[in-house]
Amino acid sequence: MPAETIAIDRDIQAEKRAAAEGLRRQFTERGTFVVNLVSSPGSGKTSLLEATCRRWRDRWNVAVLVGDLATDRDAERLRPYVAVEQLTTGGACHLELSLVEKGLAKLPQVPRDFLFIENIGNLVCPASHDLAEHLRVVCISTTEGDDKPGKYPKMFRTSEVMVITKTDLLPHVPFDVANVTEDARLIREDMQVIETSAINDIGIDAWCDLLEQRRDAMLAEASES
Amino acid sequence: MHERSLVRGLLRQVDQIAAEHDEADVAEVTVEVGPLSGVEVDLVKIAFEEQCGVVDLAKDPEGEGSLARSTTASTRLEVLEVPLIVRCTQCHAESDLSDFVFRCVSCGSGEVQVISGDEFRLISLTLAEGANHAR
Repeated sequence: MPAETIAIDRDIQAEKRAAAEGLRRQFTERGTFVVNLVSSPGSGKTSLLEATCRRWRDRWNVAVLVGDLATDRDAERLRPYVAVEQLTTGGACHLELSLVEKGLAKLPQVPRDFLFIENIGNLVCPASHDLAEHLRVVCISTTEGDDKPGKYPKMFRTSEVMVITKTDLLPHVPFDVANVTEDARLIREDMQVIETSAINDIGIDAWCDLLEQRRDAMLAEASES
Repeated sequence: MHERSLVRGLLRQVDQIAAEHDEADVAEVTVEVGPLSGVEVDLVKIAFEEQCGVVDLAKDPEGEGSLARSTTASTRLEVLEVPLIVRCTQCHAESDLSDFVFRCVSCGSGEVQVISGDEFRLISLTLAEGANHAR
């Protein structure tokens, strides 16, 4: 048999993207707004979620899937407020849809209003994996460099909202909110920016309002179609 | 590093295609990688060398229970690097971005859509002459 070249031209992640799209549609139909939270390690994703879940305890039904390489420490922090399942990857640097599906099956109830997926702390690999979210949010803390967006373009290009965390430390660190905002908007001009300090409960109102508005928009769009 | 799991997905697809072609052995796999694909070319090459004809997809948590059998240690990987190109939604000009500043080169607008450079694509397979792994 002679050598033969077969033309394919296919996105290698096409199947995974289609699976994520299918799961997203199910979430939309149930009215569950899904947020994928990404950042470097230690930027304050869990603290932001604690503040959010505390605030919403009697208002919305919230569930959280939290990813780490090991331990269920983050899940323990959130358990007083919400249904939470820890996803441990055993070393993998990002969450994949299959892990999210396993975590969903273990939750004591089907998430109703909001589902947060706290990704592995990593600004590289999680950018390439659609977890069926409606909104990708990147957190950046004031103890990181304000030139970070330009260094991790894919993560900032694929996120619609940038939450600046630990703003209570601004007087002590060389972090400029205007610089980081400008840098992020070179990559994504319409990036929404929210400044928060979870331990002082600052900016959490604006953050929660944004999520409620986004969920309302999702519900309105779903009822139209 | 997520290239290992992406290459596993690639090899699974290569196996399926080879199976549709008389279980032929694969001599060369050609992929396309863009600057915004989130894929490092060097790491893809390393993962490909590691896994070709070796990885047991049956042990893969997402595997479908088959061995990567259409590739061998001598299967070559050809990587085509493609540029990052955006189209402006205002003036419709296309810009070839050399860095990650998402602005239209023609009118300066930031309302641009990526039309090339954000994917990791399987372009083609070359089957080995006369060889097949139907055994």
